[in-house]
Order: sequence, then C-alpha cells, then structure tokens
Amino acid sequence: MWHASRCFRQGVVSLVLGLMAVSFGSAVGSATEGAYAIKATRIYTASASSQAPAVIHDGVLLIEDGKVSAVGSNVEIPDGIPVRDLGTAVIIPGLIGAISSPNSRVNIPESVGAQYRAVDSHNPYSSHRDALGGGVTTLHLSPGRNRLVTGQGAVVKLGTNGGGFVLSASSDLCINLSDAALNPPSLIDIPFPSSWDQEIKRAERQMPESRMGMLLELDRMMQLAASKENWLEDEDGVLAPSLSALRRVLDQRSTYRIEAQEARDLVAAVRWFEENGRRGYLALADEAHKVASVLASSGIPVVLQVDGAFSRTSKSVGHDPDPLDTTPNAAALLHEKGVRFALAQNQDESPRQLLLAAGLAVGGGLDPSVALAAITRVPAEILGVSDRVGSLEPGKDADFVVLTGDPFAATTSVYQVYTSGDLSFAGRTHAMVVKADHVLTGDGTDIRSGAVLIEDGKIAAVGTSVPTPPGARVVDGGPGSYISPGFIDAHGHLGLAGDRATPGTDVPIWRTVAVPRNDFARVASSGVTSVMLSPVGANSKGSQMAAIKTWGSNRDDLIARKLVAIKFLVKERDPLFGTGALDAALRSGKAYYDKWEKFKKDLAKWEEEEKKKKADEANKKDVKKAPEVKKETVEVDTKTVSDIVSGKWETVVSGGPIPQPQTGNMYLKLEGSLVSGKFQMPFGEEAELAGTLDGNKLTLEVDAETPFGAPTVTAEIDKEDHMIGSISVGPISLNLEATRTEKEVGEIKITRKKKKKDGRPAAPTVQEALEPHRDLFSGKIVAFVGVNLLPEIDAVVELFARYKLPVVLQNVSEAEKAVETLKKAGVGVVVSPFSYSYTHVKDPRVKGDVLTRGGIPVAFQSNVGDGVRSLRMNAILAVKNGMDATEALKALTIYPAKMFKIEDRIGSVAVGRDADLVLFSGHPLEPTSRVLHVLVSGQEVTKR
Amino acid sequence: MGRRCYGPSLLGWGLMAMVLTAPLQATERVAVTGGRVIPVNGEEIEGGTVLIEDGRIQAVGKDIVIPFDAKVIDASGKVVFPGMIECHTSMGLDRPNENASVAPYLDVADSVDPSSVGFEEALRSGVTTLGISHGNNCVVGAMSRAVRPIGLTAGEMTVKSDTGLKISMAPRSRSNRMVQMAQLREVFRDLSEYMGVLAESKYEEKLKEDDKKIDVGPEEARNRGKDLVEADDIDDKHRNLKRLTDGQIGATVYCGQAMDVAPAIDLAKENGFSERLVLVLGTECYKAVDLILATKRPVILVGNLIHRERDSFSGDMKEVFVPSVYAKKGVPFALLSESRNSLGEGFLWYQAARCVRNGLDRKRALEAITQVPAQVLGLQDRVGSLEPGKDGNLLILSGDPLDGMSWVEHVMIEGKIVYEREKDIRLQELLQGITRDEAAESEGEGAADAGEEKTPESSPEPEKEKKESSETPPKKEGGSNSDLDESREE
Repeated sequence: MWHASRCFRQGVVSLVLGLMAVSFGSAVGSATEGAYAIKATRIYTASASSQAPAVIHDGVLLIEDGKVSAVGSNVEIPDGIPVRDLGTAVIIPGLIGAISSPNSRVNIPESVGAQYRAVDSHNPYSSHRDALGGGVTTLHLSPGRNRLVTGQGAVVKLGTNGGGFVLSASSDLCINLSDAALNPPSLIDIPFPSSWDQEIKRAERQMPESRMGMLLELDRMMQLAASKENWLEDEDGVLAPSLSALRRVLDQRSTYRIEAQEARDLVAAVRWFEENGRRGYLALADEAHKVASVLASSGIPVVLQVDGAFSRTSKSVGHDPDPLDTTPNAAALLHEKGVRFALAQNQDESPRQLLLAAGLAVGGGLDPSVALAAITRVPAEILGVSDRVGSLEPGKDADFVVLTGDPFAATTSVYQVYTSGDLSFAGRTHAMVVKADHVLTGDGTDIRSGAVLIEDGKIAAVGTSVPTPPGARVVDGGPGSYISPGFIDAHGHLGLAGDRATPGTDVPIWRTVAVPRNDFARVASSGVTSVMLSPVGANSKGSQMAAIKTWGSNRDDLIARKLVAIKFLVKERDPLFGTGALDAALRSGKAYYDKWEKFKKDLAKWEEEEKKKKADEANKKDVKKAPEVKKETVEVDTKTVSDIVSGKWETVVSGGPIPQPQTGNMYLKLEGSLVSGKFQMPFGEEAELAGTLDGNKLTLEVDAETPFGAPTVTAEIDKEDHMIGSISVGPISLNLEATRTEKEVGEIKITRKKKKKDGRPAAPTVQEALEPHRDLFSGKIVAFVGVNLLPEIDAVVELFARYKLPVVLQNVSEAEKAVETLKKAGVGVVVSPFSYSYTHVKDPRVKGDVLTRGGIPVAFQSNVGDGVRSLRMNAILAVKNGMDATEALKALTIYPAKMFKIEDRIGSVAVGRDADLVLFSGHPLEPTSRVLHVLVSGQEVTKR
Repeated sequence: MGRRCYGPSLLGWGLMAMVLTAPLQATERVAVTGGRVIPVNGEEIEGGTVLIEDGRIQAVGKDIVIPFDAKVIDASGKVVFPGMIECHTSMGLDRPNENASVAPYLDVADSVDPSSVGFEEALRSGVTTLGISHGNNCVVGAMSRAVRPIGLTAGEMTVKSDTGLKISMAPRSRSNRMVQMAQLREVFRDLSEYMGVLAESKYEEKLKEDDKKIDVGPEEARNRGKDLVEADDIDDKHRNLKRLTDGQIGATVYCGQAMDVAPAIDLAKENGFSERLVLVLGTECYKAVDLILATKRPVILVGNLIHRERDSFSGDMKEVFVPSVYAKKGVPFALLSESRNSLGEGFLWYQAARCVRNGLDRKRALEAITQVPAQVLGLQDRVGSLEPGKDGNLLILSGDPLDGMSWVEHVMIEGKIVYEREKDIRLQELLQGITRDEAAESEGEGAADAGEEKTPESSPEPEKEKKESSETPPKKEGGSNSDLDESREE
C-alpha cells in the first residue's frame, strides 16, 4: 500500500513536472536557479591540492550561484540545468594580475602618503574591457609609483558591476624602493585665510634624498606614527593625515608590498622584513634571480615582472653603466632555487599581456603548469585572496577564462571570460544579427518582427527567429523599423570624378575603383550600397559597365563584378541610321563570338577524339606493352666543317619566368645559309632546330609545341665562338648566351618525345575590344542601350530580338507609347525616379509609375557621381506622385539586380546573398524615416 | 506685518516700477481667479481660485468666497502654477568656487549679489526659489541657503539659511579621486580628533574650576568632557562639520560619476548625516541607481540629462535619458536647468518637458521642478505646491507650464506681484530689438530697390509698418497681443 502510494505520488510528480516542462520550457526543471554546466576539452584547475589533477581532459565545470560547485571529468550534471558545450575550447582560472598601472598619473605630494587608497580611484562601473580581454579577472591596484610610500593597495574583481567587486579595500601598504622615490617635493600648506594667528609656515622638507635614506625615512615615519595615537593638523602640521593613516596601518598589522627592482634593494627589503618581523612580499624584482638564494631562505614571496615589451619598445638604457640586469630564465631560476613567486607582465604593460608574459617565462625554461599557477593560484595566495579566487575548486568564485587553444600560444585568443559565473567578456565575432519590425526582402515580402543573421559578409539566415551565435553583435531597429536590401543605382558614375570620356569596349572601367573615399562613404550612408558604374559618355560602339559596392576596406571588396553590361547609345534620330551603327557593332561582336564558339566546339570534339584514342591505346597497351614515348632518331650527314656556326654550343638561358639560368647544349650545323641542329636542355628533352644565318645573325625556329606556337631563337655571333640573343615564346622572351666548345659535330641525333602534328584546332586571335561581346552573346551580361523616341525603341527592341540578346533600355523618353512593345519583348527600363511622363503637364505622373503599371520592370538610376546620395529622396518623390511604394522599392533593389543578372549577389535579403542591408527607422520610402545602419557586405558603414 | 517690503530689489531693471505700484495694506488679500489651477499636489482645477492672505495661501479651489477687500487678479484663460524651484545653483555668486579645498566655515550668503541679472532672469522664467550652493570644485564647500530672487540684501532674499554643506566626491581640478577621498576622510578624522581634544580640555577646565586634580586618563577625560562642549567652544573651521555629524544640518554631495555614489553614501553613513543626505548626481550616476534607491532620499539631477557612451568594443553609441532610469526605479528627483545654456536646457520647464517627451509621467515631471526641489531644500512646508498654508508663490502663465508657447505673465512671491510681463522692459527690448533690426534690414532693401529717388521722409513709413506686422511675438496665444500694444503706448 505504501509502495503503491509512493509510486503514485512519484507518478503524479513526474507527470506534473513533465507538463510544466512542456508548458514552460526546459528551464523549469533546473535544480537551482542560475546553475549551469560548461564542458570543454581541457580544464586547468591550478589547484594546489595533490589529489586534484592539474588538467582535466573532457572536463565539466559545474557552476551554482556564481561559485564553482564541481569540476572534473565525470561530474554528474543535474537534470534540467543548461549545459554549454564549448567543444575544443580550453578553460583556465581567471587570471590574477598582481601588477597594474596606477589609474591616475597625478603624483601625491607626500613622500609617505599612507592615507591614500588605490581603491578610491577604481571605477567599478567601467567595462574593464582591456584587462578582461586578456583573461584577468582579479587585479591588484597600486596607488602610485613615485613616492616612498605611495599608499594602500587594493585587490578588486573585474567584470562585476557595482557591489561585490572589492576583495580587499586595503590589501597592503605599498612601499617603493627605487629611484622614483627619491627627492620628493617640499610640503607647504597655506592656511586659509592667513592671519596673524594663522601664519604661513615654512615648507617642510621631505626625505629620502639618497638611496640609503629610504628605509631610514620609512622607519623614522613608522616610529613617529607609533608614538602617538592620533595626529592633528593644527598641532602636528601637514603630515598629520599621513601619520594617522600610518598608525592605523601599523595597528592593523597590514601586509607590506615592497616594490624594488635592483638586487641591492631587494636584499635591503628582505633585511627590513626580517629585522622588523613584518610580513609582506616583494614586487617587480627584476634582478631577483641574482639574489635567489637570499629570497629563498627568507621565504618572502615575490611578484616577478617579466621583462617583455609587447605593446611598446623596450626602454632605452643608452650609456647607463648599470642598467637593470634581467634574464629570460629568471622565473625558471627562481623556481629552481625554491623561491615562491608569481608572474606579472611588465609594469609599463597592460595586464592584458599577462598570458604572453607568462609565455615568455615558459620560453625561459619554466614548466608551463608552474607558469599557469604563477598567474592564478600563487598571486591569489600572495595577495591574500586565495579563499575566493585563483583556482577552479568547489566553493571558489566561478572566475574562469575560455581560451581557443593552449594557454601560452600566441594564436590562442580569449573567447569568453566569466566573473562570478557571469559572462563578463566575449571575444570579437564577425557574426551579427540585425532585427527590425519589418524585413522587406526585396521581392515584395514583408517579414514581420524579422531578423537577419550575417556571417562572413553574407546573409546566413533570414526569418522571424534566426540563431544568435555566441558573441554575435545584435542590432535592433526597435518598433516601427524596417530592413531593406541595400539600394542599387542602376546607372551611375560614382568615383569617376567628373571624367566625361567615352572609353571603348576594351577599357575595363572597374580599374577606376580604388580605396573607398569620402564620397563613397557619403553615398553608402545614404543607403545606396551598389552602383552600376558606367562612363559618362556613350556611343554606338559600346563601353564597359561594372557593378561596384559603395563600402569596403579594399579594392576587392568594392568590385562586385568587373563586367555587367555593355553600354550603347543610339545617337541619330533616324531609326535606320541609329540602329545601323549599333547593328554593325553587334555584327562584329557576333562574328567574333561565333569564331570562338566554333573553336570551342572543335576543341571539344578534338578532345573527345583524343580521349577516345587514348582509351584505345590503353586497351592495346594491355595486350602489348608499347612504350608510351616513342623515340625517333634523325640522322644528319657527318661532315667535317669549319665555319662560324657549326659545332657544340654551351648555352645559358636566363631571364623571363625562369628562376635560375639553365645551361644546355646546342648542336648546330651550317649548310649554305641554312642552319640545322638540335637543342638539348639539362632535363634531357631535345628539340630540332632549323633556320638561317644572315651575316652573323642567326634565326632559328625550335620545333617544339607551346600554347603560343613554336619558339624562335634570334642571336648574333658577336665574336668568335660566342653568340648572344634571345629565345621568344609568344609574349615571353628569354636571354640566350652560348659559347662554342667544339667546332666539329658528327651526326646530330635528336632524341625527343614524339611530337607529331595532332590536329588540335588553333585558337582565334584574342581581340580585346570584342572580348566583352563574348560575354554578351553567351548571355552572361546584358546590353544597356540609351534610347529616347518611340521609333528608336521599336528598332532597338527589334534588333536585340533578332540577335536574341538580353537588353536593358535607359532613359526612354517615350516609354509610355512603347509600353506594349516593351512588355511583349520583356525588356526592363532604367529611368530617373523623378523623370515625369512626357505628358506630365496634363497628367503629372512619373515614368516609373506609368511603366510599372504597364507591367514593365523599372530600375532607378542616378546618372551622376556621388549625387546618388539623393536616390532615396528621388524615389520618395516617385511614390508621392503615385508610384506604388513596393514597386518603387523593387526599382531600387531586385529589379536592377535582375536586369544586370547579378541577383545572385545583391538586390534581395535572402540566404547566400551579400549582406547589403539598410536599417530604417520606418518604411524606407517614407520621408519621415531615417537611415539607422547601413551594412555593405556585412561591414558597417561609418561616416568619416 | 512682519512681511518685508521687497523694495526696488532689481534696481531699475524695469521691474522697479511695478513693484512700487503694489500698495502696502494692513491685511493683504489677493485672489487669483478664473484660471486653470495646477496645484501639483492634487487635481487640476478648471476656473479655480487661489486666495492668498498676508502672503500665505488661504484656500485653493473652485467655489471660494472671495473677501470684499481682496485684490482680484483675473487669470481666466490662463494657467496658475506654483513658482518653480531651482534647488542647486551657483547663480548670483561672484565666483562659485574657493581656493581652499576644505572651507566649511564659509557661507554663500557672503557672496550672493542681489543685483545679479540672473535673479531677474529667474523671475522671467518662473523660478521663485533658488538653492544657492558652492561650486563643485571643492572637497568640503560653503554652507548653502535658499533664496527668493528678490531683495536688496542677501538677508532679505533668504528664505532659509543653512540648507546644507556642500561636499564634492568628484576630484577638484588638478587632483585625483584618491587624493579627494583621502582629504574627505581626513576632514572627518580631524573633526573627531579635534572634538576629542576639545572635550579633554573642557574636562580639565572644569576640574580646575572645581579645584580638582586630573583623575582619569585622556580617554575617559574625553568621554566625560563630551557633554561640557558647547556650540560656541567649537571653532569656525569645525562648527558646521560638527553640526553636520550631529544631524542638525544636511549636506548636498556632488557625485560626478557612478563610482562616486557608493563612497558618498558610505561617507554619509559613517558620519551620521545619511538622513539629511542630498546627492547631486552627474549624468553617468544613473548606473548606481540601486544604491541611490536604497538611501530613500530625493536626489538632484544635473542639467545634462542624456548619457552618451561609446562601447569601446563594438563602437556602438549608447544613449540613455537619465530621468527615465530614476523614474522607473521610483527615485524622487529634482531637475536643474543647465546653467550657461541659453537654449531650452537653460530653463527648468523645458527640462521637465523633456521628461514628458521621453515618456515620463507628467505628474512626476512637474514635481521634479516644484515639490521635490522643495523637499530637497527642506522647504516642503512652504513652497512647491499650491495648498493652504504655503507661501503665496505662484505663476500666472499664458498656457500650460510645459508648453513652449506659454509665457510667464505674472510672478507672485508671498502674495506680491514681483513680475509682470507687460512691464518687463528688458523682454520688450529684446523682442523690439529683433523688430528694429528686421525693420532696418527691410528698409535697406527697400532703399536699394527704389534707388536714389527715395526721400528721407518716406523711410520711417515702411519701418513702422514692419514693426506692427512683426509684433506678434514668436510664442504666445491670442489676447496677450494687446498687452504688448498697451505697453508700447506707454
């Protein structure tokens, strides 16, 4: 019965839990709120305990209420708590920075300023990105550098806003034994107001003025402070605050931090500690390795600053006879001698470089696990905060750093930093999520409450819920906002700087694009992200057009496609003449295209045959192992000769693409003025030579096949047994120099790979001016034709229909009359948004409106340079004049993209497209909306 | 009649005339009738009456019997609103800061210049009470006081003296936070040590009087002597500080950044004035709003209300409208105008209007320029709202107090009209000055058009026309046009 009821109860409980989980999601099932688990491939615990392993492979870190509750490889993860699997990431404890630069550069006046507290200058509301980004979660704050007693140090945690950030408000009294402490200024306190009973006192001289006076002055001040409970400014003068504070420090039996660099100062400090029976530690300690045994026997711990300058150059020591003597293996030496030490970056460096500094110590021979402990657990112990931080053990604060790899590798970066279990730093990621109330994809779709995920400059996801990768930047346009594809200027001259030339089709216009300048920035920030770049002028012979972006960090970013169209202009009014010239251009283009097509076809056919032949030969080979290369010997008559050419020439070929000069032999034979022979290069291949001798000039053709035809040798026998000249192969020219070593040649046998005429079809000559036409006739690009009057429109449409070519018409003054023609031909039209229909006096409608209503795709052009900034305003005018806003937006995005056949890259917000987006505060074509963000290929446009 | 006559306080600044016209009577009763009364502490009353007797508000409401001898001011079509309160300003001080970093023995009264134009400007913009404070460039500054912007001497102007000591957590110029904090701690350490020594000497004195010999150690002597110390025994340097730690006076503590807030609160707690602590909060301090809320004290927000911060990592600019943060958490706050800003931010009503524009409750915005600053100055029983028993400080506005088109028509302080727009010569000169300039400009153009033919006689004609046509002031509603016309006739 009891069992039954328990089972029943359990059943009910699990049922209820299950229902809850269904209705509220998985979070409800969690054991403790705020608990979570993290998995990583390696977890370094830096634990001092011998039972706990230093490294846990495939470990789990369990965090509860900001504390570590368990760590290990087989930690049982409670049901329902979130688990973050960090995959190949490496986890180390949050680093403890035992040295930091003082916040303030203002020097305190007192030589012994015990009343000053470093914690006062710590801003807990600052993001501390710098130190956190280096993995440092706990930092010792030093009050200053330039006085004997600079004040009271503090230990704070970074990354926790507001309360709970101070681990120790007064961790130690900071004493500085270095040159910087010498010769403090005299103290003067002018009473306010000065009067006969409040006279101005003499300035009080301060010590120390010499090195030997430093500890003397410290002891004197301490004895003075100890002599009296409290000090009054009126009675005891300007040092009253300092003495009072010092007295309290003495009463509290504080820790002393002595910063010293030279060996003698370190030894003096050790003596001071021992003679006075005070406890504390040494910091900086550049020359600690020189006095390692003294330090070891004293048992005083050391915070060693690693001498490494990362973000600056090393200090110049010049002729300093006695500069600080540092060594890279200092840490290793200290470890060997048994000195307890922590590592820190150089005091002039940011704590961000702590990992790198420890890496240097590893380079100096320190064991990596000791080095890691020296920037985590050991400094925590020295600073007296090891009960909270410094290692990953149950009960300690969940301060840890997620690294992308080995802790001491330069390629490793800090991926995330957690302070007390909360994410306090996330490394840079290029992923970005843009959210808005409306996402206009460009094809007329409006996704409500949508978002776009951008990765590597491309759109990775679009929809109402897109994943947000860890660390991704999220931009939310807020209520009423819209995302639109970046606008496209269907015909503009951005960056041409007023150049009005009309270049031929052989001139690549994309070469005008250089690095983005201010004009580009202004255009981009107006929302125009692409421009179909064309020269200002046009003629019937044609010019190239390129698709360019308006923002990017270099030239490659800026060029979307080098060739998108050939721009033509129908000049004459007479349609017969007008299209006549255009027809001629197209005809020659077509002929050129056909020639190449024929070649391609022939080549394909030939290759097919060759393949077949080879296959046949291979089949035969199976039967009889015929040598693949058949050797052939050409017999040349043997004759004893004596002329300036015949003989063996040692030949050196150099220059051109040959990295090093090549030496070979030429065997030549002169018969009359005819020269024959062979050419032998070191790699064994031989080629037949045939040519003529004219005076002392030798011209030879080499019987070898290259893609550029046969090479020719031209040389001059400039003196006896020596010739100099060149070998030219197509565009390549090599230097040739030869010396005759034998005057007699016997028979010249030519051993070479069989080179028979294989019937491979020859390629047509390349004609630069007609190259774009090949793309045009193959349908890769389009023709862009400026026309105006109806007869021209008809003629051009007919012409391109005849050639079966894609065409886009521009300007088209009388488009309204040609609506039917255009619609039938399926031709798109590029117009200025504000150009009115020719009947606009009677019927004030813009051309774009008339055409889109007629079912003709329209794209908007600027026809200017950086004046394209106003393209959106122009389009707004079109909407104001009755054009459908959706169509107007298409005319700025998807229509031009389709017309120029570049819709795979731009013109819409869809997966795989370039991340060219504009975030507006309202509908893109409302004058009351403004541009909030512009992204071009995922890069945010920032105004310059 | 204990009431003072606020004579020609503004010395011929054009306001003298109207002050002189206000007659002195045995029992002075004034009734402001017919206007839309916004008492701030309650519901608005359409066509309400505010009855003031001997400078104090007697009644506020709709059906109030107006005594036969009351001077009736018709405010129909207008808005009656309490005088606004600027509770933390250095206006009128010949210089806001002292050389000495610790100067609790000073009083701003010694520095207030009653003839400062700022006080006249305060009246014109509807401010009837000002909390005058030492500047922020100090460690411990002078004693503050609350004044009305009328009177011949600082004494006459004073509404309440000793409204609090000024303390600054933000470092003085050429100093840093560490030094600032060390100096602050030192001030209070020195005080306690001084008081100890004083107590000891008082005890010894008493022993001497009683012909007794020293019978206890110094600790006990200090303890026994504590009660023997009288206020007059304490020197100037320590007196105000002692009053502060004894809870007799408060302190306005300036915090420049959020990081100053926690030390400020700790300082107040350690030294016994957390009940009388008023924080003056710099723009960024909103980040410490939870700590501020826990003090349960009203705060003062500096004039710059928008915090801008660029994320060092992403480069994003973040903008926070600071009052929204405090309002959301329920921290009562007083607004300040941005001194040295001649634009909207230089006016209290505009600061409140900004709050409304940024989505704050209208009531809270109005309280931030009336009731809360009154509370901050410890004057909650005297000013800040229109209710019986409070001072008769009110404004008659041509429209809503938060409307940029409204004019301050009349200002009444303790039942006396101290400002009338129609007699504000300086304002008229300002408006006419514009008119004159424009007229001169148009005349020049006309002359150029007409060429040489123009006679000297013909030129004044267009000027006059222009003057009249442009008389419609830029911001006001009908009805008040005639006021300006009349004044011109005079």
